[in-house]
Amino acid sequence: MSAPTAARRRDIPQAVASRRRRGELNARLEQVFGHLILILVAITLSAPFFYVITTSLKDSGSLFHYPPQWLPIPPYLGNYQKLIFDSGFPRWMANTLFVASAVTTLKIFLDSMAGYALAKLEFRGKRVVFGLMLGLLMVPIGVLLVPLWSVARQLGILDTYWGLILPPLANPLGVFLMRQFILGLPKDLENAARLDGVSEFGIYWRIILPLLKPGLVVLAVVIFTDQYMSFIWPLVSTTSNDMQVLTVGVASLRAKGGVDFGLWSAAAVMSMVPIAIFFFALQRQFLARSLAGALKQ
Amino acid sequence: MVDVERTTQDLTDQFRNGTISRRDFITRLLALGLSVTAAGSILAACSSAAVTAAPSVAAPTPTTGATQGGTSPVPGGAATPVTGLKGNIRFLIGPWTPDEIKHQQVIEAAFKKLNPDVNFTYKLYDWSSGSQEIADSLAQGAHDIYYTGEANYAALYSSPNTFEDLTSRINDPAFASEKAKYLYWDRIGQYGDRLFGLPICWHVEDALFVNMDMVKSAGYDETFVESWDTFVACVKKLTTSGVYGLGIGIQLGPTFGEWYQMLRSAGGSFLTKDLKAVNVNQPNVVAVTQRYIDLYNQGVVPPSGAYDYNTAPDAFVGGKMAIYSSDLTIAAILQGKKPSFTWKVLGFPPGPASRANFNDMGFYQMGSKTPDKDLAWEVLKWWTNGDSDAYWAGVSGTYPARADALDHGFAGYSTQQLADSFPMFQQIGVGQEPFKQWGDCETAAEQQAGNAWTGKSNAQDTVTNIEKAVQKLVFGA
Amino acid sequence: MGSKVATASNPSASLGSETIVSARPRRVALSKEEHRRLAHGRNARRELTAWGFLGPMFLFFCVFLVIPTVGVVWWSMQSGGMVTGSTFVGLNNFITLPDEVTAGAAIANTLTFALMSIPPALILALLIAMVLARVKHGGAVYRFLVYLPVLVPGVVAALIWIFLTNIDFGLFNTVLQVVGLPHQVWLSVGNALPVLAALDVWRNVGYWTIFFYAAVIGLPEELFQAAALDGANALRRFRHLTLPLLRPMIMFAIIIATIWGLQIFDTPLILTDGGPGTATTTVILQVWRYALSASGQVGLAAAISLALLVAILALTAVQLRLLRGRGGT
Repeated sequence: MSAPTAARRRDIPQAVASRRRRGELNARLEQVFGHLILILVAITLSAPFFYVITTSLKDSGSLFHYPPQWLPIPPYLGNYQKLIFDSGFPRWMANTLFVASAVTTLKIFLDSMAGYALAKLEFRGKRVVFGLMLGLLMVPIGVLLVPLWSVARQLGILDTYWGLILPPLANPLGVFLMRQFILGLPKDLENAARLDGVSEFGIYWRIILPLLKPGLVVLAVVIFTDQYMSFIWPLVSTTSNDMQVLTVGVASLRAKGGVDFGLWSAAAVMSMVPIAIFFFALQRQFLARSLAGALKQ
Repeated sequence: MVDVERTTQDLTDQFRNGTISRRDFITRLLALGLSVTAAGSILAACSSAAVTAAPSVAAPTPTTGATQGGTSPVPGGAATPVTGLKGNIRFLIGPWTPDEIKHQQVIEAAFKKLNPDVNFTYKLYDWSSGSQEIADSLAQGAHDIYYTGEANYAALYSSPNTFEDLTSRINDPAFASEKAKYLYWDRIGQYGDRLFGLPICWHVEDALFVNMDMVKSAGYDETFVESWDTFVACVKKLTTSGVYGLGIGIQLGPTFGEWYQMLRSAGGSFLTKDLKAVNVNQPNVVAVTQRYIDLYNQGVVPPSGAYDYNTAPDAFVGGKMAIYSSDLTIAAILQGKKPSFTWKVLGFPPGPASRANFNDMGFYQMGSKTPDKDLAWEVLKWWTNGDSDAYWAGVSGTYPARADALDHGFAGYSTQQLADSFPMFQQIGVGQEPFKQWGDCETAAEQQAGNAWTGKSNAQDTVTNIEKAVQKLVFGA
Repeated sequence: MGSKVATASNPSASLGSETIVSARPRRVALSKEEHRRLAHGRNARRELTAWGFLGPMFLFFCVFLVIPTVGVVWWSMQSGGMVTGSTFVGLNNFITLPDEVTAGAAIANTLTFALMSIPPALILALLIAMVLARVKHGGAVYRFLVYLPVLVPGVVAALIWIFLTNIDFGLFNTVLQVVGLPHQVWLSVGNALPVLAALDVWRNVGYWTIFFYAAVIGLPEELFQAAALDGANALRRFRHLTLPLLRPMIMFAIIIATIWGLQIFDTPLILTDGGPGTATTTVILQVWRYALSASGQVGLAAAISLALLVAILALTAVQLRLLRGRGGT
């Protein structure tokens, strides 16, 4: 070893150390920077919520004060009182929760059964059915308003719970989701059961369905959320005050002259509560909801 | 036996203290047995600031009509009210106020005093889908009595067998004296020889709500609306930093804007009197449109979208607009906000031809599939009699289609400002034209007018486009 | 011969007639008959079972999706009202559609809106997802806050934005006032559509962020490490590795976001009622108005709906082709 090499070898640990330190510093800066960006984003996205919450705790008459009163102290509960006791809000919320639950429950069975058929069973016209469902997958209700209203009217289900529950059952998204999940399940139990001569329904009920539980939860999340936020079909198909769902009821607040911002804010806050709780409890499944459409990837 | 006078006194005190609400006050007065007219008069007396002592009520005052029994007055209106009827009546009505059904029930209660065996149900339709709901209900015979706006009356006028033809009942000599007290038969008669409803109200869709304190400090009094030049001078003077002189173009949705009354004030109309040709594209119409565009350009009018139907009342009360245009129901809302200034409801200034404030009517009509038409007719008459109309129109924030409304306590149920302007609006009022596509023409016209107010199109192009739209809607070309 | 005999190692080979013909010819003929009859029975039962599973869902699918889709075509050739009766007018509605001023405005507005709201939402979502993927702590909290606007129903979001945009005391103008800038008329003719687009971005960015986040964390870490060792800096890694790898997800997002964007209805209805004038009238909003109007313009409503339907089907087809192009399914 020549002297310069020895010197270099002595330098290396130091050089590496200082590079590592710089690396660590960079990494830490990167983290801080990342957090800053995310904090900024989070503030921008959630600022409206704080604004609405504070407005809901203020008396509407005080909104015209300058400078604006940022924090409502003491908080004014009159808006919530009015919302719960003196408006249609409880009924709207009950309607929405009922319809959303009913649709979700029905879809869980309908879609898993249909998905099972498409995944595991052979029948004539399977290609046609598959293609038809695939083609009309993305067709929204808004485009079908006129004929759908006509069909519903002829079936006599307008302005009824049936009218709110049955049409959403037609959406084939769940079927594809279930099909994808079922195709991905391990086949051993199923094959064994088949050899044992278990009926298809038995296989479905006792083997597939239990294995499908995580997929069912994702499906439930997707469908419940969509139904919770559904607006145009309930708007068009219901006319009585009693049948209004949450979205339609909140929209009706808008149609009155002379706005009551306190009441509106309270309604906005209360509208978010069930779904926010739902989300908090099932965060992972909501992440999967974002991927629900990506089932073919 | 209830001491009516003492209880009335107590109630009045409670009302003036603010212990009970106006609605409770009315309800309890009526429950005491007072006639609708008497209750209205008491309310009017309470509202006027000059009264310091409680008004004295000697005895419940029966109105025109036979009195039946000493202490139970007849809230009458028809020449001889019918009693002892039986049956069910189903209403399909539009919600004028959130308390629409409660108001209907007050009228129902008075009717049931004479006919306790008649039962009523009410269904409210959505204003935006009302025409479909009414058509649907008529086809199925699902309801008996309908409230329709004039646009619906016109649109369904020529549909066969939908509403019951009431011509013979209305023209019956027995009804003649009562018929004389209704307003606007001439306007209803425009649609054709047959009559399908009884008028209940007429609504000014765009009236001016004026902050009189600001107007006075600008050096004008309420006559400033009577000439275009004083009007413009005044609104310009009222426009300062942070205050707009004139808020127009604020109503909810694309219908019933102010352009139609501008058209009429210029001597134009959608169609000529014989309904055979379009009558929109006139030089005066263009000139009137231009005048208002100028106001927008000079910053007197807030830009479109600055305020809307919901947010404008607060802005007016907060002094951000000195004058603003909206429909009559806003009067009650403004009153509820207790502005710190004096305000009035006035009509629009004159155009080249005349002053014209648009108002459209409301009707109660009977479905042709109603099982008991005689009962429904009695109900129709009751709901549109002096007491009922004065009460309902008053609490709903619109004008009653009765010449004798003020005698039945309208002022008490409504606001003072509306009652004061009742005769004026009757004088300068113009209505729809009698063809069924009027509503759609109005929608199209206001949408085009919107382009003028926002500077997207000039006055002549706007008027030309409206003419084309009307041509297409009515004559299909 | 070997391959034709069914053995334990090759259970799926069929018992062809060639293998057995030398043994018992008569049995074969019967077997064939029996085979077919048995197969028929089995087939029939199998069909029945399959339809038993598929049937209920398919029934609703047909009644409430397929039939209305055909119905749109039928109604688009009618003129009149849904209840008050309509008459057949052939293709008249389509011919007059370009002249319908509001319909034209609705289509233009909807397209402009899509262009204004989709690219920002997706780009922001991708960037935020990248940052989320790198940050070590507190990811769940950020994801929750970012996703929250997605859970707001459209009408509620619009109500909230009505106060935010209020000229006199809304949050936006208050912020401007604090900073010393003049008040803006947020919902004026020129501003209403961009504000509507901003509302949509606010609502949807969380959804796509989570979407891209899941995609990004699913990418193979080794590739990036290798690239980093090779000296590629963050920007180059992003451009040459991340983007190409995410390309299918991005294409998918664009198409889905477009299909959703074209249907926008509840927010313009509540925020501005399609106004001022027709500044925020969108296609579905106009369909709704036509369908409910007093003199009944159902045919026009259906005609525009059909146009939108065709656009959505075309986009779906594009998406499917893209997927198949990658050798998928």
